[in-house]
Amino acid sequence: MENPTQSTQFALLRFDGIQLAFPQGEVVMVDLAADIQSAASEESEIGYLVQEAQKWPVIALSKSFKLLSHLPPERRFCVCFGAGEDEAAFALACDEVASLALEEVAAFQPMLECMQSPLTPVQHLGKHAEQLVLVVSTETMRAYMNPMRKQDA
Amino acid sequence: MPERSAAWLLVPGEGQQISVAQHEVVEYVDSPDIRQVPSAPQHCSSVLFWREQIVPLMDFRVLAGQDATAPIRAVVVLAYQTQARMPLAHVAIGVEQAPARIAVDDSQLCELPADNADLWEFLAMSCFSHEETPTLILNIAALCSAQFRDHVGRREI
Repeated sequence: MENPTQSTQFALLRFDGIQLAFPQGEVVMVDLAADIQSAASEESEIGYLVQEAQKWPVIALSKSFKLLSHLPPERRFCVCFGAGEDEAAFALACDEVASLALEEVAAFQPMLECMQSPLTPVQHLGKHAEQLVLVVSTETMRAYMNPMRKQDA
Repeated sequence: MPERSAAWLLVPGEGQQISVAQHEVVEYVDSPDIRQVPSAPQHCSSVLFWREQIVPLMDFRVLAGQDATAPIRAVVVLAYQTQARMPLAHVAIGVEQAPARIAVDDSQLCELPADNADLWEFLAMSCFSHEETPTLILNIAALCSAQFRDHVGRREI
């Protein structure tokens, strides 16, 4: 797993005014939301992306990082992380995805101590294009989202 | 005649008053550039873009159990050190009005407010009465500490 402090390249996911940055090396693939295969009616997932027997359940988050039950039409892309089973793999839906170099992030700093909590997946903060950048990792996002996904199931 | 000390009076919420030392106030910002940080603690769920820095923003209305749905329209940026000889750090507090200069002496000392006393015991170096309102003398480093963050987190469970 990449350490965000050692990453110099990030995948920047934009949705609902949020800029979420993952270490570039953690991205398995980027696909179109149009390729999402529907979940069975009894399942809580929005759907799945499938490639060569690997499935990525698709997750859409609100701007307050709550799980959405449907995919907003603006979410045109899905970025896939992780592999295998047991909730290790997931795909996050977003409006845009771009590459972001560390040197393009101003005021890059660890998450402020007074704002940390066991629940927050954000590890670093920064500023890019006059917007806040929230730097996370696959591991922290998975730990944050999985309890919500279990609750919805 | 008791010795009077100059201080700044801040009003972070309705009926709330806190006080900080003169040198701790860096800037009063009207129409601040505030950004939300999802999943952060409720009393500190946003940051301020300020002078090329990202500064945490404290909402005392949340700490006092008041309605905090109205946007914060002004903030005071404070400077503090966690220890002597450490670089200055900054934190912003949402306020209802511009800070006011006051003078304080020992004759004004009073008890901490009873409501949410556990929070104020953590945050207050002392308390005095100003215009018949208990006014905390704020320990800014304590406000920004992991210990206070965890204490608030345990209360919310």
